Amino acid sequence: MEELPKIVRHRLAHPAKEDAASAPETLRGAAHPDANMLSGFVERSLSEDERMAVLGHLADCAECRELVSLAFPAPEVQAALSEVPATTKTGRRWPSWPLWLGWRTLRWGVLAASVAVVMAGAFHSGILKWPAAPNTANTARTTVAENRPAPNLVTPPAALPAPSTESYAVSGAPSAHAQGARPLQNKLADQEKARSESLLQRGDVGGLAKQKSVAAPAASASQPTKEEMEKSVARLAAPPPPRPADERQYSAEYALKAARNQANKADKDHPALVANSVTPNSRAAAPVAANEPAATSRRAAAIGGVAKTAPMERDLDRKSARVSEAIQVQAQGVTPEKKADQLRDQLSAQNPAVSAGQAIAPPAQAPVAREQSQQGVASGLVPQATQEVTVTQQQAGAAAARQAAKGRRARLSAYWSISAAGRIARSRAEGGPWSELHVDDSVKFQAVSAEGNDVWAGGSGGALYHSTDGGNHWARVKIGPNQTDDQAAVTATIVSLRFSDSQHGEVVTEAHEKWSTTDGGAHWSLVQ
Amino acid sequence: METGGPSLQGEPVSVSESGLASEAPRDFFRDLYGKAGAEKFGLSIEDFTSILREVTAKYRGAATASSSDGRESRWVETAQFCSGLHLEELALARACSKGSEAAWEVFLTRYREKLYDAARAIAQEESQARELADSLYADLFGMSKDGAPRVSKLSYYTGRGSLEGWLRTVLAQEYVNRYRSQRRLVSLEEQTEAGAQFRAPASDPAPALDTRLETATDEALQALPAEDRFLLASYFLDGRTLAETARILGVHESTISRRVEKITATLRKQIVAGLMRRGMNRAQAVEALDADVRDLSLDVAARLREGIAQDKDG
Repeated sequence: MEELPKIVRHRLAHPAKEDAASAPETLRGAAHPDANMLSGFVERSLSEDERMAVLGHLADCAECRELVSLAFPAPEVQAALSEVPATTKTGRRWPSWPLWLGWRTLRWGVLAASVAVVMAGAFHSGILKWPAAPNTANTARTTVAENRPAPNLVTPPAALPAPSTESYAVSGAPSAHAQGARPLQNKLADQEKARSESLLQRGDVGGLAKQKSVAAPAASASQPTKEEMEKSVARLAAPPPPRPADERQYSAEYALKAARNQANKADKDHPALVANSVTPNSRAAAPVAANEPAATSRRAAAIGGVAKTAPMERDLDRKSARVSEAIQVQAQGVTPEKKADQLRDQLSAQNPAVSAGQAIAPPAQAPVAREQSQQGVASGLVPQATQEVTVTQQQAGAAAARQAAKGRRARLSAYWSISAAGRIARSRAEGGPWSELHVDDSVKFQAVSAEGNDVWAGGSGGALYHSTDGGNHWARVKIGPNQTDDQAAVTATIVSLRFSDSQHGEVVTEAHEKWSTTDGGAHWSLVQ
Repeated sequence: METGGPSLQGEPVSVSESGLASEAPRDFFRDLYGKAGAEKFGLSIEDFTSILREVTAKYRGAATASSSDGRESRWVETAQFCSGLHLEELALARACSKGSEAAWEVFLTRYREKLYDAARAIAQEESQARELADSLYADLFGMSKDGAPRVSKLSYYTGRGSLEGWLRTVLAQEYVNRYRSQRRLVSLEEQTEAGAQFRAPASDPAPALDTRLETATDEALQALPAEDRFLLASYFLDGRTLAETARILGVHESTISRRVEKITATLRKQIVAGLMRRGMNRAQAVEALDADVRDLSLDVAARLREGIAQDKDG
């Protein structure tokens, strides 16, 4: 813009005196227009004569120009001042919209809200469905996925990661099947052999241990109380930590694959077993799944899952079908209480799954294992349980369940496992190092069960060892109809055992014999 | 701004001694009274009429037309003037000045926060803004001094502009007065630090021998419309932005920009023309226009003549 000549600036700043007579009446006798005139000028409410008079004065009077500029700042200045926080202002603050609440910003919010409403309606009406039930995913997570540390058992025990208590969840395996069974039924049927072989090549024991890990908790999962059931349900209803879908998928696949590997191994190692071994459990599951409502069906699935830890290859498809059937039964409306009752009945009626393999069981954590087992079982209920339990109850229950589990974990004296060499392994702390116990090196241990300081471990040759001091001292216990008759003693490998307390327990051998005791191993009876 | 004046029909009523015609429609004031809602502020129709009479007298004079036609036309103008006032705010302000509780409650509800915001905008400092606003509140309430009757500043409001605009202007005036008074009270130490204490007094510039440039410039400036002069002063002297200037004048910024360029070019031409009328040729006129103002008062030729004379004497 062209610069104003300096002389013009100078004369503008020092204008020649105007003829006072030419000023309007309201300006005569006064040096400056009053506030009424100035405000009227800015607001354009003066007459044209008055406006021109004020304008003429303003052109010559820098003070009045300054006054007008001060009194009527630019809108942006006013807007900036309106952003001053209310706390810095005095007096009563009248509500005013913050700038971010303007339409320019909120229009996106309106758009987002509209989309959210449409999506919510679509989900509500069933037009859209979630890709996977989050609770089912949770189930998979809390089961086989958590068992993944187990493959590390192929490494020396000292390097073993401490199995989390959740790794002993029993019904997680079937739950994993529940999710992964359908897609995996067809998929795994073709790929099963190759995977089994590769798994065996890189450390079949890991897969074995993982399967075996579900055995012991199954043994300790009997007779859950209703309260525990509710806690477990509530705990599972709590939002699970994010976990990639492929990991869930992996978990399900891994469980089924491991089960099949075990089956292959069982076929190879104990051909005689295949016909009779785990089938009682598997068979027990089938009618239950077929005839009883959801909870029982899931329990059946759970038992089936346990049974799968040493199943035969041909049983797998049947179990998958049962799992699918159980899932279908789940769709029927069953209240959580009813499910819990049914579960309790079923759990007390069912013999715990006894499987071949090395049982991983924390000694003093039988309750934990039981709870985890219940949790795993209850996880099968989740799809309906979450619908029927309010969010508040879920959160409160989940918190209580977590607290209880935490307390139980705190009371654990040790964690138990079976090493790759077939020795009993103990960890003093969760996540701590594992140490092998040389109880009897001639025995290849297969299963371990613990209840407080009472630890039971069984293995080859029908060897059953019992420790009452948390594994410091061990005593061999003979299994047989008569303790004095060595000839009649069990010599078959103990593939699974479960002790619900220091007195009551059951042992399953590879000969498909199930022995039970009610006096801490002094007397045994063959269960038909 | 209110539009649509009240009805001019009705029974005449005498409101002489004012800018209003001696015979005015009775319903006219009643309409304005109702329109202003003056009753809720505790003003009677007589009070309100008196206020209107005072405002009209101030801005339109007390002269009354002698002829009946002149009275009629003057009455119409006055009615239009009254209708253009911010009547409701005028009634509110005047009721406040009379001490009406209801009016004060309304006033504080409407303007308290606005007043503080305006004070913040003016002072741009929180404590100073509060002090400024509180001071104005005291003036608005009309604190009596030495037993003198209380005079509220609100009694000076005439309704020509909005009450908020008037309050803003009063606030700005108060701020300027305070700033100036405080500037006068700057201590000697501060003046010394600022270099103002011993500043040499500006010598009176010697009267310019050639006043043609000043005369031509003043003539050109006086020929400009008031709005153009305001535009130049606001933009070039005060340093206001074109947008700010345009807002005050109520025109668009781009219009202002074009106008400034046009005014500047026109002004140069007129000054040059004025100088040429006063005996300069174009080159001299252009050179004089671009000369430094400080050089204008220096008569080089006179100084040279003085120097030559001194040399001869010496």
